[in-house]
Amino acid sequence: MTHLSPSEFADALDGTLRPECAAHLETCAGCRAQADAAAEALARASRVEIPDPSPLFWDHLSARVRDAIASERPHAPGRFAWSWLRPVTLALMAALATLAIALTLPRGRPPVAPPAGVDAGASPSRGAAPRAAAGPGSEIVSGGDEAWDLLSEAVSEVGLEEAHAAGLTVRPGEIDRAVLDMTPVERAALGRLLRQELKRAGA
Amino acid sequence: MSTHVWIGAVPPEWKVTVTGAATDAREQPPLDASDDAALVAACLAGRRDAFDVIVERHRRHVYRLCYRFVGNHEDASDLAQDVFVRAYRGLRGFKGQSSIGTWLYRIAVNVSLNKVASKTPPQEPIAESAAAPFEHPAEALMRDERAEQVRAAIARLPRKQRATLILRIYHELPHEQIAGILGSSVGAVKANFFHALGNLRKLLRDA
Repeated sequence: MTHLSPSEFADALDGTLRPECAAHLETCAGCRAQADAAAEALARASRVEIPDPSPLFWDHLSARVRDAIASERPHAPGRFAWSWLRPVTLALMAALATLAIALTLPRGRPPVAPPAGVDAGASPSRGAAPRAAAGPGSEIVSGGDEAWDLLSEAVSEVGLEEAHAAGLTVRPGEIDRAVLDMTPVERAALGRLLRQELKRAGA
Repeated sequence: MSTHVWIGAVPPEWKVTVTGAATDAREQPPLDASDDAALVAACLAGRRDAFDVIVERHRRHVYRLCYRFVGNHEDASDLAQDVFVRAYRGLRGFKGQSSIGTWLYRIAVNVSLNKVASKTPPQEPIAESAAAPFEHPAEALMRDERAEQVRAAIARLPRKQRATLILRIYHELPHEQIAGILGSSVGAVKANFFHALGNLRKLLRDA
């Protein structure tokens, strides 16, 4: 039999050495010496204790951890607060994407207007104003519609991957109907709801 | 899980359905009796108090492990806090393939090794165990000196040997669990342990 491997020496220290290895250890002086040396080092290291902290320390540590994570974003509440918005934000995302595509379409195609009321107050002409205000790379100007601003902000925080991971699928026809057909009153109602949810979620 | 349907606040043709964890206190089970997996699930469902229970269960082991690496209370308590904060942040990534204890040990080993790699922390005096009730001061001094030699020798071991030795001797973890913590095979952990003891003996002999 060959000499013990390092792994087998560890087994010897644990008392879990295979019988054939144990038999070798009994007869091999070299292996015996190594095993004894390891056992001696183990015994010496095992005697070293560390001081126990004050019994009050443990609760103090818990309190420190609690304080530290209090500033962290909670796991589920955030998800819960926003989860109901996902169909809406997805729809808005698609609507914004539609707008962006429409605004950068080649000449010859008619400009696509944003949802009714988006540019209200910014221009009397709905079709032309966004195109003029939002060239390639520039942002769409809401023209003071708070609900639209809020919805846009919500959209900016939802990624496609996240939405996909949540099992949501986008069906363009429905999105168009749900978003582009929104009236100013509906958007105002949704805006109110969003603000309430944001306030509740502490956003 | 619960399902909520909002009506009235959205256009009539909309039906907004929310699926998420219930936050109604009446539906929340007691946490103290929950196992770690249930506590993790509760944390992910938004119950921060579930994480308090996790901290309470594992704080002693985490602190003591950190102390073995850094050798003083102040750094050990800071590291222990860091371990739990990191764990909280990474809780969503915890897949339950190992126990949460193993996972916390893994974080603790990593933050502790990073700490001692960046700076040698000040060491507090530690002692060998089994002190006699009426020990002579000279004997106590020698005992403390021997303990200090061992700690200094352990601090000079290679990282993996050091971590293996600490987890095996002072936390009495099985080789399999140490392998899970260090990301090694069981055979490698056993070999590391044996080599750590051999190196420790050499370092103590030279001290």
